[in-house]
Amino acid sequence: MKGGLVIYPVTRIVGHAELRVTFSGGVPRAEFRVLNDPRFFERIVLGKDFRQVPWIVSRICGPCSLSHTLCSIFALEAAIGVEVPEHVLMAREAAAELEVAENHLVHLALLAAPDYLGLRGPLELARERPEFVKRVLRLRSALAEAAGGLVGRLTHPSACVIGGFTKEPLPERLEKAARKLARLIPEAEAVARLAMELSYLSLNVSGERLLAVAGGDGYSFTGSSLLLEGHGILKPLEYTHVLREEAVRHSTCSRVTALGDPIYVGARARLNARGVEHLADTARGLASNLKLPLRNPFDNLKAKAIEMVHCVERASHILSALADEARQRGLKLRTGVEARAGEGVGVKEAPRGVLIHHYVVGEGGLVEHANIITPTTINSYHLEKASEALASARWGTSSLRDELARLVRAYDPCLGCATHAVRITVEVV
Amino acid sequence: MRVVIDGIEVEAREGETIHEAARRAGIKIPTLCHIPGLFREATCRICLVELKNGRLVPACAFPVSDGLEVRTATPRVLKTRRMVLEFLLAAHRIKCWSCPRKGACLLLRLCKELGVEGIPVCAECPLPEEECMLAQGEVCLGPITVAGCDAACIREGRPCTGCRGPVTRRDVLEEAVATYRRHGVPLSKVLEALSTFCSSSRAYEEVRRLLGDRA
Repeated sequence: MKGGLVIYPVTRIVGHAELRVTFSGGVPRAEFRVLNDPRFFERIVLGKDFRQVPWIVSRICGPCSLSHTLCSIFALEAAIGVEVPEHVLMAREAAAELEVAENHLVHLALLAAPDYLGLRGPLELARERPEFVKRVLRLRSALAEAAGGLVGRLTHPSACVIGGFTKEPLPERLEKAARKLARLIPEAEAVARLAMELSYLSLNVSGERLLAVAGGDGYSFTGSSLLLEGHGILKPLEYTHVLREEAVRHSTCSRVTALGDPIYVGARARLNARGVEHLADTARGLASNLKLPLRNPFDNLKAKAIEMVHCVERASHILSALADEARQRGLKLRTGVEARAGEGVGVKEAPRGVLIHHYVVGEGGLVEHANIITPTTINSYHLEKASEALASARWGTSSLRDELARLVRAYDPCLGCATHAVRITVEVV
Repeated sequence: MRVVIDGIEVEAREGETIHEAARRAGIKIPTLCHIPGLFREATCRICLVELKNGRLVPACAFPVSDGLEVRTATPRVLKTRRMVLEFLLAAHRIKCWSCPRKGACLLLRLCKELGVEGIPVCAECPLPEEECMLAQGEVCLGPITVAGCDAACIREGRPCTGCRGPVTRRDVLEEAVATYRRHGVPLSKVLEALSTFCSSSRAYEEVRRLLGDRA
């Protein structure tokens, strides 16, 4: 086996990337090159007042700006020692679930599904199955609207601040959103069934370690610690001991490893870590035929389908619980915040996996240090290993190029988020 | 008689204006000074359209004639409308916070349509003047930020953070400075807030110079 192939650009992903696989001496070597320019967010927030940070880092990503907002809020609340009321936690969890559902829906139905239906993209899908695409878009706007009722708007959520929310949603509005989401469960299930029934390649990445957020209530997307496969529970601040982040020459995205092994984060890791028993009813029904643990990277799509239904269902439950609380006791959605020095790490399950925000706040409330590790940054090394495995198994077949592109899409990378490191070499002549 | 507007044949009546004929055919031509049945002086010139011979005429006052061919959105028409709007804005004193048309500003609608900036977020702010964020002691960048977001943050109970960038017109900034003074908001705080999204733009430097002169 020798030679190589380059997929440039990889289409139907969020951002710009190239996958390069070469063989030398029978050993495959894959490079996943993130081509988005470095964004320097970790530098931009330095010297800023800590209250500005969630609002700035929200701009890291359009699709998952709520995740960056919330994760930075978790980190900063930990840094300055703020405890938020329970209602805030509930509302944040519901909003996070709506974001996950919206992201999964768009990825599964419009970006990934065409691969397995023999279509070239979402536009061809819209021509071939207009009713399906209309259903997806209807569902998407309903999810965005429900999230908007809680956090202002789904992209750059204006109501989320350190200490809670800037405004209190009316109980009638919460109830209406809860009922509407409950009505959408069959719609979400129909989309999920399609994703579950497609046939995927099988693949295995040896030595992978799954990483997910642990803690929180049931199958949730917010939590208090990390769970690393083969290692155990990590407190948020301990991530620096176990995760190693280094710049690589071929990409603007750094390489993250855990004790030398590739890490996988995302829906598949979450489902393996949390198990099916905490899923909401309809989602648990969908998952009944799955055998955990899922080891195939392509199974991420199935896990996403299950999570999407779960999120719609659970968000509906939380919203109606919040509406009841609002009627009975009144909601407490804000607590006071005072500037204090400290260090904090926030962890959160973004739609694409574990997101880590780490800040040091100095005297006077100015940010002194920031580190952000996004899911795609963590997954990119795993993706390279998976590409190598796939290339070894299928080298010389005419479908390999297509299959590699599918593999990348199964990870649902988000590259604008992932740009992080640049290696700057100054040569003195 | 028949006229052709944007390639569509329209049946028109004797004595009608281009604007009236276009409206019946469902073709929109923006107007400001024209109030049907009341005022047809054709002074604002925002309704300019292009005739086949290249003349630009105000649609609200120009009478139709048989076989007249009119284009309502050629690049030249749009460019001229933009210029007309900028002239109108230059003569328009920005006092959005106390303007009776706040929330329904026609100039802002035209600005959005034509891609002209010059109206601050205050024009879209849902709060009545006495509940203004500035009056509550918040550092709101509404008075100097380009409108177009429908005051999304203010609707969610937080002050404007200027994510759309500053309006760089000197008269707008001067009005804003006066407003900040009136509410006792230090300009240093305004600059600090502005640095969140605009610290490396040329606009920021300009605002800093203008505000700095008065700090």
